[in-house]
Amino acid sequence: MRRSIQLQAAPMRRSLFRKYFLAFFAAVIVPLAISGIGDAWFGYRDQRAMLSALLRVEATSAAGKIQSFLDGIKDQLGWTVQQAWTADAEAYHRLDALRVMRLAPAIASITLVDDVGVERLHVSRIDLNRMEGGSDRSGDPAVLGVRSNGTWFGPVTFRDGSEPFMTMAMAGNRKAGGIVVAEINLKLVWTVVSEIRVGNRGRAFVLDRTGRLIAHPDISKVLQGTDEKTAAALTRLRDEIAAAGGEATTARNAENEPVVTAMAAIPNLGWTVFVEQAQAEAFAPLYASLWRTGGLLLAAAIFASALAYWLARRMTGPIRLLQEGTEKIGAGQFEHRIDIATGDEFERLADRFNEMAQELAVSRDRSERIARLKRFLAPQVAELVEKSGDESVLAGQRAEVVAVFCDLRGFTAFSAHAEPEEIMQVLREYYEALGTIITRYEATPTNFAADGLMVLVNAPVPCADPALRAVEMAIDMQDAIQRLIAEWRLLGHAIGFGIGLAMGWATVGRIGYEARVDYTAIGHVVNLASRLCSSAADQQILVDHAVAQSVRGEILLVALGPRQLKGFDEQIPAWKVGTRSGRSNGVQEPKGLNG
Amino acid sequence: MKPKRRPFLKLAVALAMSLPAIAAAQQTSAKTPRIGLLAWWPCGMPYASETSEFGMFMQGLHDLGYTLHELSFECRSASKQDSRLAAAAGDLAQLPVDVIVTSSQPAAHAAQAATDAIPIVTIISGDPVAAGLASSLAKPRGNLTGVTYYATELAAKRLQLLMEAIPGLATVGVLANPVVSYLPFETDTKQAARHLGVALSLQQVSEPGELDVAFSRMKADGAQAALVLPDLMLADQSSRIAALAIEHHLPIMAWGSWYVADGCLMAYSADYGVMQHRLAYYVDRILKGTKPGELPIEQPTKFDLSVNLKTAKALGIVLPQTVLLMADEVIE
Repeated sequence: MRRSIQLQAAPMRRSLFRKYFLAFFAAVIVPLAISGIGDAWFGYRDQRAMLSALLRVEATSAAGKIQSFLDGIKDQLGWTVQQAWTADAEAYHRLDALRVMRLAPAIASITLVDDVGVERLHVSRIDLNRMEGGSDRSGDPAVLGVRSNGTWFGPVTFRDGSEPFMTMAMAGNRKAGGIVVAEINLKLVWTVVSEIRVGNRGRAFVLDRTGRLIAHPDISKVLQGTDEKTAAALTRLRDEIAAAGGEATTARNAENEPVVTAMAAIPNLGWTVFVEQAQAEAFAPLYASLWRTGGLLLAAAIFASALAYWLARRMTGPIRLLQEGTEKIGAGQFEHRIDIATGDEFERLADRFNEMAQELAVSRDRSERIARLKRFLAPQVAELVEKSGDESVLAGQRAEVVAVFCDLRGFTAFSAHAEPEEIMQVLREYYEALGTIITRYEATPTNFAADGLMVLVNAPVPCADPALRAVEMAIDMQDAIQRLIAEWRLLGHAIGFGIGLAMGWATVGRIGYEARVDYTAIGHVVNLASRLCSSAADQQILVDHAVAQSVRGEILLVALGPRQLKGFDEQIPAWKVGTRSGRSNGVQEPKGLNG
Repeated sequence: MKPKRRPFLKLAVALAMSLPAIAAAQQTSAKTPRIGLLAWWPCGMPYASETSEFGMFMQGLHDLGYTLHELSFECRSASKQDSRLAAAAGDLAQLPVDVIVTSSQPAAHAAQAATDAIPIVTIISGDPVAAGLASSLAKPRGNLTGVTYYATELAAKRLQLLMEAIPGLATVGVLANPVVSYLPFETDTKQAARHLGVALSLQQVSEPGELDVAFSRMKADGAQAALVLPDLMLADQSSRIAALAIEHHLPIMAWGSWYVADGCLMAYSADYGVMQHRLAYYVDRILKGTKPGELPIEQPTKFDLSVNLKTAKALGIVLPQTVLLMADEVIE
């Protein structure tokens, strides 16, 4: 039990579950994450590129629309310079001019100048018309401009600081047709610009050369006039986009909102058309895709952890069961069985453990039984009995046994005045010496009473020639104890040792209660052996008639004649066994059992 | 100022159907923006009438996506008397309203006298800067904004067009209301007459009843044609003027297309319907939080020449080809 607790308490650096979980989780989520992030990144780049292209297309298209708006006006004005300025052509020119003004609402006034540079006609929506007495306009920048370029666009002017106007001039295909100078109300560009829609809230606006707004869906921005700061900011934005190679850039518009802006130039006017779209709107698909990717990754993470948990659980569950099982078995619970039915190597491993536990249980039972038997049987006998698997030999029965009694002489007197340590020391040496010999002769010790001991031979396991074996054992015992006595005498202890043996029929078996069982013999022979022992002097081994008869010729016996024994009415003949030294002249080794 | 017989039918039906809803909205919702209409003509059914002073304005709100549940209207009328404009404007300012809408400069003056806090959106017939209504067209800065069609040249332009229609004009009669003499029309006309070399017979008419006498006097002065100067009272009398013109054999050049519709010979003006429609844009911007002083006063881009060929025939006039070419609206 202690061991298993120590095992459990030993800290695991990394649990197997965690390792498996992380491995499985990573196996699922890493490729997904890489693919998701890759998609998002490339999607972002594509979206940016697409947005830039889209805005540039819008800007170009807006510039084209404005250009064609002005081209339309130019085409109309072309009619007024078809006719040569002959004497009677004035009325035709006038009708042409009126017709053109009807067709082109943006034209606020038309001035026709003849081929020598004299103003011949002025038709206006607000001003008075002039027909005769025109001034010389040959020094007019519009006229000069047309003469050098064919078509001339004047700068944008803001009438009363509010409404944007521009002068446009052109000549016909013949010099005789003269020149037309027209004032264009640029507020009508608004109709073009306000129709341009980029997404929901994107818009287009137009800057002139100096950075002033000339068209914007919110016309009031144009009419308010563009202040220096805004003009500078817009000019800077124009330069920035030009520097970026025309790619759409992110910027902040006049309302300080983040926008994506692209531009296109109207070259012959020096105007720039900007198209802007709120960043939030422009990048909405991108954000949506990012959210989608994020959501998918989250879902994948949840799925991956569930999968990893399940797999790791499947892997480590049986391992944990095995671990617990081995701990229990290690702690001695051999009846524990590891229940794994995975059908794989784990199940086979668990089966092996179960078999091992079963064998361990059998082995433990056996060793317990042997230990129990060893308490009253010599180890060899105990093994024998255990191996036979039958304890019936220990059951009560009549058997011919040799009872051997021995005790110390003068022990009572010794124990009365000796120290407990000394007494225990003496008894320990005494029993160690006897125990070794009893075990060697496979005899069965029965009763202990302080210094007295009874040993049975031929029970419970019969042996050949029990009397001889008992006598030889007694001789060895006497030799061993006499050597001890010699040492004790040196210590001043006056102790002797005597042995009595008797052979005959007795009742043998186990007596006592469950926790305390002894094997013993009951009968006349036991009493006789006890009395012979009492009667024996120090160094003496006394045997009865039956033993003497059995060992005659083997052991030197000295008949002592009948003697009166306590508890016996008749006198009992007794024999004294000659000492080994007396018999074989100092030979220490016992004879063979069959000798 | 008095756009007549415009195709308002759709709006009129829509409004008529939602009148109970308007009433409900006006009673219940405190957050509904209140628009004050300062009218010269009687309120009556000011926004549902086909001949309404504010018909095109209402149409403009409708076109901007407003439904009548979102707005409430208060109308105060001067009952065709300029002198009563101040009281009507004061009423609106007292209510108060979120924005005051008028269709003429006298009403704008009255409104601005009544409040310098409530935004005023109007059609200005004079020069708003010279009249002190705004500091500039680009940035009015005050509480008034709107549309102006003023141009000094316009009086001269009308005179010139009249002279082109009737070649050989020497004397031209002029009908003017002295109530609006603070506006520069009379001066501009006199200057133009001098420039173009014609004599004027200027007749001050402050009451409709004085029209008969005015026509007689013009005829007596030898006028071969007549010019009507901008004024609401005269606008209201367009049919009467047309009738008197036929009677006195005087071709009339007026300042609004409805004169031509009512039988006058010709008119040259910015499109009032368009201008009224545009007022809705200003109201929208103001309701959405833009300060009126930051909304530029716009000018019309187009001026329409209207001619009535029936009247020309009745007067025995053959209009020259150039005039017919310039005419945007011809009544036959």
